[in-house]
Amino acid sequence: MSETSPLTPGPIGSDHPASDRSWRIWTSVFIAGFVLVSLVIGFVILPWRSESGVDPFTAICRALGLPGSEKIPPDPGAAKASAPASNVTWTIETNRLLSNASAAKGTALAKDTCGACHGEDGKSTDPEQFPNLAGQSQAAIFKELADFQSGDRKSDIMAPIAQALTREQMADVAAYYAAQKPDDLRAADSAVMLKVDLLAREGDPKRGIPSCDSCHGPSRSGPEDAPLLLGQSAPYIEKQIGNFGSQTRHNDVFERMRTIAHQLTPEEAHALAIYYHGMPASN
Amino acid sequence: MAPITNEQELQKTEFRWAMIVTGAVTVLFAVIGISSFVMALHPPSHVESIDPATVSQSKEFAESNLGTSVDPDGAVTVRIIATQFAFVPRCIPVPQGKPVTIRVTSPDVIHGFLIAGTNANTMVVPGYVAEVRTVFGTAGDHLMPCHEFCGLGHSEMWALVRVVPQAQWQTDADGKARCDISR
Ligand SMILES: [Cu+2]
Repeated sequence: MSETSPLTPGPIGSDHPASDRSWRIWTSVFIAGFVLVSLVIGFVILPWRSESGVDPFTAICRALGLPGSEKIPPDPGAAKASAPASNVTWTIETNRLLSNASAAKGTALAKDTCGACHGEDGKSTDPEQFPNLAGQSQAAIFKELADFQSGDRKSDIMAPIAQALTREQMADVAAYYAAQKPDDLRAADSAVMLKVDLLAREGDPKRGIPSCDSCHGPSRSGPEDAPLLLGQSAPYIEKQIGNFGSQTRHNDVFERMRTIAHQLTPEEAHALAIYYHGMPASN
Repeated sequence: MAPITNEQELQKTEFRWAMIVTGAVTVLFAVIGISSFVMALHPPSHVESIDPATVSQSKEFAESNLGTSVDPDGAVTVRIIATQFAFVPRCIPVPQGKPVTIRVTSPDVIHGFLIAGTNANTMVVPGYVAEVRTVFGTAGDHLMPCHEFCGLGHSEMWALVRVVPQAQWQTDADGKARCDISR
């Protein structure tokens, strides 16, 4: 047996050390050159050529993604920027406030104050005027209360009530109503025209109207503060769509509802309201 | 044709076909390489962060400040919010043949920004302001769909970019331009 077994080969290229070395040198040179040329093209030549009005150094810094190198255009409009549609933001603090809220603490408030109109169990005494709150999303109730307090949503009845509450109280009472059991309903799809049924479930791509369910349905994926619609009274829903359409109500951040409501015909708004009024699920 | 049995002939054929394939691949790579070099195609690089949770309170992306604005020095800036499930504003007028800076951000999830028929294309990532600089050559409407799945209403999320000829280009006293359609 020789010193090195056939299973453990010697160093690569040990047969021809000279030719191997030059091969290694030239491949290294080629690869290094290729990388260098690519870097120069990608980070120097292309950014410099495509950036109009930027000096080469800044263009290169921007291409490298160095913070502070970006040229932010002047913004004279910011001086007279409109007030935000709502003060409520979904920051970590807000989310923490909502998740730390106690439904038990909200009970007293619901009994003493809210219950007279919205019902102690969240079933409204007059659903055409006062929305049902049982099973409503906590985030939605909290946001509307906060908007009534700040005046971003106008209501002569709700403004003084909301102004008397702390943020913790709003979160607690929202948690209480979110935990109440709503009536067992399903969308009244057989009661309305087919077209609106499609609008509610699939939207209208031609007009750029997303389906109502994409934000207000049980499997929604839109903004946190979008309320659930099923089980609200038809006249209440229709009135709110009308208020958004006429800009009377404008606490929808980024005009999400105003642009949609503006495009709905009165017939569609009416039919959608009936659809979400719902019917007993056992029917 | 008689089957090739000669070993040398076989190798020659193999070599010829290998050359054709190599040639085709080289041409394809050359097309990509040269066109991206000549047209300066590269992903827009702009690193600027913004708090996505409070975008709605920001001055720059306030409702009144969205859309197209022309500064006193003539620079055109478009500010857009991409949110579930719409672009704000939904129609964006831009002047033909002038450099335009487009600034987009998202308060919620990742959206896509693409202006059909142009090379404006970027992702809109919450937490960052995406910026695209471009010049629109021909007048007319471009579709601007969201091209990154963002939720159930994604397929209804689109806006229009209206390229207006210089002669018809108009702004109001504040330098804002609006489409004459109400959508
Ligand atoms: Cu999107």
